[in-house]
Amino acid sequence: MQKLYTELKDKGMDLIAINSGDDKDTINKYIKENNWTFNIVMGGQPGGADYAIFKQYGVQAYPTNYVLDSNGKVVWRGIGFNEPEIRAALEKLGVK
Amino acid sequence: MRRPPILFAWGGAALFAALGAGTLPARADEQADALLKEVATATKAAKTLSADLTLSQEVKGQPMKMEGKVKLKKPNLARIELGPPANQTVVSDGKTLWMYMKSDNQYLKRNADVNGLNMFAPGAFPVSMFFNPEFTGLANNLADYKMRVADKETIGGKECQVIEATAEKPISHTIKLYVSPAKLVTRSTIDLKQGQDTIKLTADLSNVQVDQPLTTAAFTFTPPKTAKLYQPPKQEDMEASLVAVGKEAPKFSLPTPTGGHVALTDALKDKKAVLVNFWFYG
Repeated sequence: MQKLYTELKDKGMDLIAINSGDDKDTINKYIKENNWTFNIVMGGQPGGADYAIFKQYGVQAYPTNYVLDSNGKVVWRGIGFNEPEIRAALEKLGVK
Repeated sequence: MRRPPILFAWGGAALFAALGAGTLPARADEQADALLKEVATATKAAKTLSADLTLSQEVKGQPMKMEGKVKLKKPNLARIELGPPANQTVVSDGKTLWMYMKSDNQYLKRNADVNGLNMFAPGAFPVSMFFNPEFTGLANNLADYKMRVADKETIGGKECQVIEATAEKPISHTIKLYVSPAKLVTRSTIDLKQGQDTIKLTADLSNVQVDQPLTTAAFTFTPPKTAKLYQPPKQEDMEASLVAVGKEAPKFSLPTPTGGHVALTDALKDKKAVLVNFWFYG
C-alpha cells in the first residue's frame, strides 16, 4: 500500500486508511514499523457508538478498498487488496 | 454480548492460516535437535494414542478452557471430542475428515490427508505432532525459529523436558513443547504478542495411553440428519453490502492516532482520486 501511495501521491491520488478497533498505541507502532506516510484514521471499536463508518460503507471483511473519483463517487470497490483492479480504476481517473 | 472467539477451534484455523508452515530447518541447537529426534523416534513407534485433552486460551486476560478426549491411530485416524464452549467433534475416518459443530448443528468435511497432516487442530501440537513428529511451527519459515531446551517442568506429576522455539516473524511468538518421560509431546503452549495484547494457548494431554487397541469403529462419523454443511460466506455476498459503484461515498471526518483529524472532503480537494482503505491489525 505504501508503495502504491509513494508512486501515485504526486499524480493526483490521496489515500486514507481507516482502522477498525485497534488502539492508538498499536496503530502508531504499526505505522512506524511499516514507515507509512499516508493518512491513517481511527474508525472506532466494533459494536461501539463511534463505529458508524464501517456500517455506512458496508464493510464486513478486511481489507476492503474503495476507489473514489474527484466528486467522491464510488468507481471501484472490493474486498482484499486487488492491486491490478485498483490501479486500473485509478488510471481511468487519470492517475497514472 | 459478543462471544469471544475460540482461537483453538474454528477461529484458530483462521488465526494460523495466514502463517502457513515452512520447510527450511530451524536455527540449529544441538540439544533441541537431539531431543526432537528422540521425540520423532518415540512418536513414529507409537501406533495409537488415547488421552484426555484440555485446551485453554487466554486472550487479553480473558481465560477460556475446554475439556475433551482424543483417540488417534496411525496413519490418519482421529477422533477429537471437545466439550463446551466449542462443542466440536473432529473425526478422520481415513478418507474423510469431518468437523461437526454441535452448537450450530453444522459440519464441514474435506479429504483426509493420507498421513493425517491436515487435522483440524491448529496450534494443538500434541495432536498434530502424533502424525507429523517433525516440528513445523507456525512461522512462514522454520529458519525464523530460534530453538533451545528450556528448564524441565513437572506437569501432572511427570517431569517433562521443554523445547522452546521463538520467532519474531510474522508476529512475535514462543512455542513450548513439553516432552513426557516417554518422549512424546504431551503439552504445548503458544505465546503470541500482538501490539499491547498477549495471547496464550495451551493444549494438554493427560492420562495418555499409547498403543491401546483402537478399532476402526471408533473412527466413524455420520452427521446428524438435521445438520447442515457449513458454507463459508462468499466474497460476492460480502461485497454486496458495500456502497454501490456510481453512488456517492458517505462523508466522514475521523481522528488520527496522533491527535489530528482527516476529512474525506479535504482529501478530495484537487485530487483525481482517493483510495479509501479499511484495515485492522489484530
